[in-house]
Amino acid sequence: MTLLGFLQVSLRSRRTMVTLATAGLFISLCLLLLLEKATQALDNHFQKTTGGVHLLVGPRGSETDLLLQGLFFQGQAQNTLPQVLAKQWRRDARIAEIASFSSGDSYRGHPVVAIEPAFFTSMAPGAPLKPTMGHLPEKPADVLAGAQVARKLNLKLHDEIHLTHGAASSSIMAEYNEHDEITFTVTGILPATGTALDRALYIHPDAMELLHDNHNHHQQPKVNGFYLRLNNPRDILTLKWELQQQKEEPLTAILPAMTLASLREQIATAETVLFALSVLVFLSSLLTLGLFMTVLLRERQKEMAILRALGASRLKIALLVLFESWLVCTVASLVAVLAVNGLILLTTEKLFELTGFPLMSLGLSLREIFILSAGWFTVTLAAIVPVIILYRRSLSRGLQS
Amino acid sequence: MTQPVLQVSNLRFHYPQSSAELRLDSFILNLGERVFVEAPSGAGKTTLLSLIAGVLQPVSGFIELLGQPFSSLPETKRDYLRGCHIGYIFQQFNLLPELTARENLLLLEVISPDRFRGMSASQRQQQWSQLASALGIGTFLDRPANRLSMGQAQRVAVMRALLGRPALILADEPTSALDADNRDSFLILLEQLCSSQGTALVFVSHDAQLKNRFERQIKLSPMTDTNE
Repeated sequence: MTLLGFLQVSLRSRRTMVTLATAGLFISLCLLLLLEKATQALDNHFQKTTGGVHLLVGPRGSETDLLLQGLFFQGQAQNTLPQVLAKQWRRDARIAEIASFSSGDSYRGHPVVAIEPAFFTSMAPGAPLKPTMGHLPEKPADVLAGAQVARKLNLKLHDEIHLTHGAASSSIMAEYNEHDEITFTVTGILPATGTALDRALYIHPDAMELLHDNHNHHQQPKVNGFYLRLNNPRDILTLKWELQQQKEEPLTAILPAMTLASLREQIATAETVLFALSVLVFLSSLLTLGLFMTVLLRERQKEMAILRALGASRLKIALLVLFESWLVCTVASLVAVLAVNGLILLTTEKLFELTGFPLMSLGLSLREIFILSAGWFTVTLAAIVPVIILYRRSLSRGLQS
Repeated sequence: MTQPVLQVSNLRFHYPQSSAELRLDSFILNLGERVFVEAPSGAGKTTLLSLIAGVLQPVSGFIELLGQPFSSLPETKRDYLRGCHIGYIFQQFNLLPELTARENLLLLEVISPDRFRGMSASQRQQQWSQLASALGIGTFLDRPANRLSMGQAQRVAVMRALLGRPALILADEPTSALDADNRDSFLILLEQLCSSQGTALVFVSHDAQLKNRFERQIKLSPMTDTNE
């Protein structure tokens, strides 16, 4: 029987305490790891979402609303811009690409956006973005489905669908609002990008006029905003300033990357709070571990006296106790890594489908390893208290069992 | 003339926070000798044994073990020598309850492998089977210690103390939890086995009835308060 074998038997004899302590650590480590995974996923997602859009231009209003509409296809625009603005801007040599977008419709709860094809070819995340099947919308009745929408609603090429005006997803509203004047045909399906792009459907800008303009023929076409891509990114700030200064039409122009970053910062505050809470949970589970060990020392006094009598040094016994806590922590860490990855494997796609929360990645990042090492280190600190008590008591009590 | 196993000289000890002092005058124990230390309760019998075992260090006086200045050696050295040369039998709770009797015996080798340094594998094997059959513990070697009777557990403790032929066995009232019949047979066995392998024995007990079985007796006076 080796020392390890002895350790194993010794742990087994206190399995209730050991299991409880391991479970406590396991849960708090899971929290910390999950939070880290979520943060990574958000960072990654935010970076990806910007794609190649240099400026996002919309009617004067909230920058965040514009960002949500333009990049996440969320929320309803209150104001619109005349489509003709694009014509003026095209004359500007600094601008390389322009694509307008208009939202406001939905199909079975998924946003339907009218976007000019230039967005997909030069500005979307992963541009040029080519449909895995079919083609980009060419005619007013064409509809392009995001990867996830297609999978969830089981859309195939040539499927015929009717769109709903407004974002309503309840069936009564849907029936009431259905644009059944026009039947759309699925003519393309986008590849998965892991961004909000996967969760929407796209139609040709001309379709928007067909859908909405029959009520007011005299107005010129309106859109919710424009994506701009410049020839030289150095001109972004000047152009943004010029666009916001011009008098004809009150505009908001944002740098998606910057607005995203400030949005990210707001989320980061919440993350910090969550992280602090998780650390507290972790610390409380550590205290429990330390408490358990201290309480059990009285019981273990006999065991220690026997080991001492057999020739074990105080240091060896202290290490044995420390080693136990390390083992508990290592097991908790390993199981937590497995559990978190398993949970992600099972739920992340569903979560993205249901809430749009970005896909979390599997594996073990450097930061996660750092978190686990920090946990391991703190467990050692927590275990040191009972170990020191044990170490000193042995001198003041001799071989009293 | 061989050197004594144990030599105690004018031992004085008190715990750091206590003024009660343990005193023991000089005595020498040679190979194979057995001494009975009569220690009324409160006389510090466990303290005395902890001193001889090298777990505690005397405040003054000294202890020599096999010619080495045992009590003034550094702690880890004392731990090592204890593992090599001293067998220890507690009053009760000699065994780790979750381990089998066999595992409890093997634990000695895990912790103090050097105790068996002078013995070949076959000698070890031989000693193991001799002790096991003399103590009659072959039938319950693989039973967890917490399912052994007190008498059985104490016999396993004797076997563990004798394994590796240590020079000295320290016994802390090992018969106090046994009934009269068990106590007598236990003592006879302990004496026989010690003398057959030439191991010296320090047997501490408050039970003065036992002292006549030993060739030598020492009386430990109650710990005195030095402040009085």
